Amino acid sequence: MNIQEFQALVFQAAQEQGLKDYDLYYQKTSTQEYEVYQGEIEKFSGTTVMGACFRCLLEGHMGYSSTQRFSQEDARNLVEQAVESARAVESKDPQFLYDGSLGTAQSLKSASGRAPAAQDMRDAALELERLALAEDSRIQEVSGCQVAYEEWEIHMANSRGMDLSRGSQVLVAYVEDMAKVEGKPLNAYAVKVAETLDGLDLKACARLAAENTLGFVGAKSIPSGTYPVVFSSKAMISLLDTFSGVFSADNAQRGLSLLGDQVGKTIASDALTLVDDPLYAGCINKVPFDAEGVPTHRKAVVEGGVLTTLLHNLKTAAKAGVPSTGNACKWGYTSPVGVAPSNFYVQPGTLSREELFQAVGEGLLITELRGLHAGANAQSGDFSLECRGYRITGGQKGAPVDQIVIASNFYELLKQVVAVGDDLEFGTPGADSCFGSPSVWVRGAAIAGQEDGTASQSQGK
Amino acid sequence: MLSEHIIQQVLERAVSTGGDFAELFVEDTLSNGVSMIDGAVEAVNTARIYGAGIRVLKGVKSVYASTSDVTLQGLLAAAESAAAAIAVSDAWQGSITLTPKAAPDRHPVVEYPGQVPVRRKVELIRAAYDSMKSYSPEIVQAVASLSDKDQQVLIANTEGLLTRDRRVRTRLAAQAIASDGKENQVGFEGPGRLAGYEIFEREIDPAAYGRTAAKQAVTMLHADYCPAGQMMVAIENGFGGVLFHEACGHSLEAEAVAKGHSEFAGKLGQQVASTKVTAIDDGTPANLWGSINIDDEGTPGQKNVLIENGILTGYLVDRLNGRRMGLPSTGSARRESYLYAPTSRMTNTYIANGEDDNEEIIRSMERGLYAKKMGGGQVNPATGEFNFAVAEGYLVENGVITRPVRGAMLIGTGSQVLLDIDRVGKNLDFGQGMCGASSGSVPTNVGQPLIRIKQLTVGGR
Repeated sequence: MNIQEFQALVFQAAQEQGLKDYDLYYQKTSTQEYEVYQGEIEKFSGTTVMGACFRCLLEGHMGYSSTQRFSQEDARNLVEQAVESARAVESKDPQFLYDGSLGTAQSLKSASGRAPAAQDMRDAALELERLALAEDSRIQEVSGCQVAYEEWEIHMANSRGMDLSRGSQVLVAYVEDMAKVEGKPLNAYAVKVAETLDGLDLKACARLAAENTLGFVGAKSIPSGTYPVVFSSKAMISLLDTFSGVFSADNAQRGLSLLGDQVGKTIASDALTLVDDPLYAGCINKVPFDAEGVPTHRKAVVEGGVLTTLLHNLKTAAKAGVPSTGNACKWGYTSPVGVAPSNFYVQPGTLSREELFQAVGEGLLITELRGLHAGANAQSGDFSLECRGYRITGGQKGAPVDQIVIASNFYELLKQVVAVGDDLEFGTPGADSCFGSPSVWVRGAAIAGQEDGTASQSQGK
Repeated sequence: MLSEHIIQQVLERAVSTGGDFAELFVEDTLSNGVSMIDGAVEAVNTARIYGAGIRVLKGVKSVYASTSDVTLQGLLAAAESAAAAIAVSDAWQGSITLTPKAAPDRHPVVEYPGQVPVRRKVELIRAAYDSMKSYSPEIVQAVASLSDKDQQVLIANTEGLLTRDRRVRTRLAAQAIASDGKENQVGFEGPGRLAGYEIFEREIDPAAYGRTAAKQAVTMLHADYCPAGQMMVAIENGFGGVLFHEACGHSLEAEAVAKGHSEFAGKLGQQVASTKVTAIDDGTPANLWGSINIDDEGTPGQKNVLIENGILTGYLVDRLNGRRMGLPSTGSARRESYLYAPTSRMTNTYIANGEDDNEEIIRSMERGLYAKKMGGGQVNPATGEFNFAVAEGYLVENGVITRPVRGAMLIGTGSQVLLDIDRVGKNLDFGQGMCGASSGSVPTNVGQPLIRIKQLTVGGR
């Protein structure tokens, strides 16, 4: 049964139940992954998952139900469960199905819309391992090497005649190198993404993995203290990803963000502008409509340090008395509608990375943050994270540093931005959000290392 | 679910191009979620997960294909795509005689989630919600939710295995947010069992867990930042076991060990921990969150002693990695759903009770950190570098717990921290978590009594 047939059955079941307002959200995701180990394709996996989520509005309450089974019986069950769900909901929050009042979005298909040939994927994966090993003789082994293709397709329809679809595809190259230098094991990975297999820069991926691994030969901890810090684009992207929820009106209205009453106020340094651009040309994923079917648009969320808007879906917008910003999201097809950015990035400045280091003089470049799922508190903004990077000495990138912890607070960090670089990069795209940032210089952050630097200074050693 | 005849055809098709082993995993899962915020039921969600995964092995090469089309036609198509991907020349010569085998039934369920009316679920979360909100006026927001999952699986393979299992899991989540208007702190409790709703009559009191979450949030709101540096650290029982899970457990999984990508590879029989440490992964205890009847390859769960009095005695092994290591399965193959090929994972993993007096462990600390409640963490098995967050910490000064501290992050390397454990107390208990790795997110229990580590790097500010 295809989705159109299933949708017809679901809508018929909904009408039989006497429902007037309902929608169906369908997502199909397919992946193909080729993994290489020691010159051979060691693992292949191909998965396809199709899921549909039905919502209905009943006496002001929204009910949800999802399925991966698509028979006539499942269509009926889906509707019945959603009705039961709506009856159990007590929340007084207003609920909406999109009525088209903010315009009608365009459907969007992915660029080529089909997977590369299996042989081409195999060849690329084998080539990637060869390139990775050829980067440096100190690389003993490529412990992870993968070329993957992923495509997803989203289809939305509702009882008011909405009928939208969008699709995307991405090719991902992943390499993890293993080296042992002076008896110490070192490993690191790199990822590159592109929209087509031809566009996937395998060489760059191999080079980056080698840099990330061998750049840390002889890495040491540093004394605890407060250091000026430059976050690399990768490190800043992981912070944005973790803390982007503070810009959600949904979180703000629930008291889960401190920005609820800050719209129009200065919340960051004037060097910082944060943009949400669903159709950004440099991003693989283009999002013409959000998870409620509302057309999307570009907006600066923070402009020159001033919070210009929070991100809204129909519900949060109605509560705040503003139009939706087109940021309704679903974290997977089964999820309730929430709020999230689309392509969300720190607007680049004019300084090159080298000029940024020159301006910092003495400090620390953080290239990777770890354990964000545990060491970062999205409500308080506090984070305390294992990280690594390099010293900045005499205005240049210096010796590698690891086994340190950086502790700060996201809200404070926004205010402490001194300057941003011109090297905007984006992370791996997902079906909903993609984050981007250039290098970002912040005035100071607490670093915990292995010698107590402050103590030895106070003793005058 | 499926007739033996269909299973046999699918397996035969899967090995038709020369695979030496094929396995079929079919899943039909119903999951429910109910959540409450602002004192009202916010969402009720039901989802059905339905599909099959087919794995074909040839030596240490593997292919995995999944589909949500569980008809003969759909399964044969998936089997064919897997067979095409493994493509060796010689056809399979064996024959398959399926022998139905009942899985052990160690985890009785009294009240299946499907039988529990939404009304009762709402009462349970309301109890947790009310106890959080009434704990203190500083609790500005509380979120209580219940999730349950009823997973039915069928596992068959070309060795003739044909078995079924039903896994019912139920979990409460209570999250309290304390605020003084300027900043937020969070407390969290998430008790769960491999069982039905009877757990709320016997051992899990939602109100008590709600109070604990609220107390943690309020305590942390009034806490200073943890000082940074190196210090002695005592870690309390229950979720404190995440230390062993991250610092050592992942590095003992065959997925890391088989290719030598673990700091514990090749160390069987050697001393890897202080002699006070005995560590166990046990999938068998009745109804524990991480327990299993059979793993996701159909092997019964078992008790695996990993470290005995400091000596490394075993690894966690799945079928595929076992081939590389020449070791039999230890009943450790797990996966989130049919979308993932199984790999070696933990179940209930804990440091066993020791002989040290809990009070003396604190009394004999001159200065250090007492981690009453841990957050999550992360490890790089190749180097053993780990990080994990302290959710509720206190300073210890001259043998006395003095004041709460927030934002502490512990980092180190697994091999070193195990050797540095200098006290092991007597109050073993477990905490529940979801563990993410290459085969998805699986429920795991972590556990330990109060333990103490001579010295760790503590991040703070």
